[in-house]
Amino acid sequence: MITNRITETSRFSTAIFIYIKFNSIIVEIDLVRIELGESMSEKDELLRESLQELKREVERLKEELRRLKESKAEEEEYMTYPRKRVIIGLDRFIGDVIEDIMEGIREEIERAVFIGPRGVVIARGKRRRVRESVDFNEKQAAKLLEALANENRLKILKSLSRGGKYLKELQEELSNISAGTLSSHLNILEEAGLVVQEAVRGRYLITLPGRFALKMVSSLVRYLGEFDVED
Amino acid sequence: MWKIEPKTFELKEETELFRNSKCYLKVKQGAKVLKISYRDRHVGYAFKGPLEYAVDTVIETSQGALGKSVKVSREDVVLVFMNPLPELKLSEAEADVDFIEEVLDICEELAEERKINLKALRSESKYFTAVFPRENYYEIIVAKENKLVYVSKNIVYITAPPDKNILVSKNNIVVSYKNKLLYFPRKGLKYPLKQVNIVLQQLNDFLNQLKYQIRIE
Repeated sequence: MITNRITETSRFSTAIFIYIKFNSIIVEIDLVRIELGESMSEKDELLRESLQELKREVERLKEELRRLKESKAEEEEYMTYPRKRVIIGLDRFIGDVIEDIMEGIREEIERAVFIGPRGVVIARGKRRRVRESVDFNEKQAAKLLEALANENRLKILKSLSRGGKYLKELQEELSNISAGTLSSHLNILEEAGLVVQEAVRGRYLITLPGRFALKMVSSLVRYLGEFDVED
Repeated sequence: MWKIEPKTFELKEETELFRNSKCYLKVKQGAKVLKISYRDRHVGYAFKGPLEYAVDTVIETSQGALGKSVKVSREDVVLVFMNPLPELKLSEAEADVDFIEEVLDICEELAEERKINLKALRSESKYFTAVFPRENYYEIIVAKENKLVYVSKNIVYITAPPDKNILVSKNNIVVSYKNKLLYFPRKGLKYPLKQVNIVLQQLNDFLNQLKYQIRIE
């Protein structure tokens, strides 16, 4: 079992290494392409800076991988003595490292997205145009937006996004909303699938779609603010 | 091996048979009651009449809650096996032969299909199992302190608060362990199996205890 875990860890490290190497090669290719003078404009200058930044990040990840390998070697040495507690600790350790690395990579990929003359361009590997799908059920969408289109309901969602709450706690926090109105708002949010009430304890919780909807509203408000030309 | 006492009783007051943070079961006044014995030991009751139960098959995560609450209040039949057995306030009622036969058939089927743990019925440890006979299937609640297994037609929910939860529903499989959440549409896995395995390995002990096994194929 321990041998299997060590093999899994080695395979994972190799996969991460290949991933980083792959990204590193792509960055190199993109830099060369720019240096060859493919329409040197201000945008390309920005692109070059971003790619340089990405290259630095790849270097940092390489360093992190090296450290991971070293610590893995230490763990392997320690694991020659089969102890259950050590095995669980290692799993958690690997899980945390995976999360950190993946988060780092995700942030970099997000940062490496540019809006160019040909649409959205992702600065890694094969460049392709991304077209957003607009295929949805209008009736369902209208019902969802109706549930969101109320200041007090948005306040309730914001409050629940900080943690599950009992009705009494919500009443205390949103004291400007009467008890009856609060219950009615909660019912609407529940029907729309944005909130769920526990039947046993009675707590209200924001659902996964509820949190997502709240994030979308927040992004939309911020986005509209950025494009506000009135001022 | 199974024996149903031929006397039928009536419950004189509402009784809460079980409650934890995720579920409860109440039987209301007026419900018919039968005493169930297994290998000459009184192991549970069968109830027929007004009852109320709720199960929260909700998994709370930092990304939001998943799942739903089940709350039922109606005339129903439930077989309850538990240790220790509660003290019920009962009065004798007219014998209901059909109900006795129905309960005996259910007990035999449960044992045959291994829907209940017969070993637990003979042990001294604490347990609670409620079985609701439905058309073509059984709705089952197994609980031990705050741990809970709920099996219904389209749902299997296993929880060991505060941080281990598994929900298998019609469309999704959700596994949460501490702050990690894995969510798979049942039509196909879209997440790296390596990550899934790490979490599933950590859940092994817990699953073994409950004699459940989850395989991702």
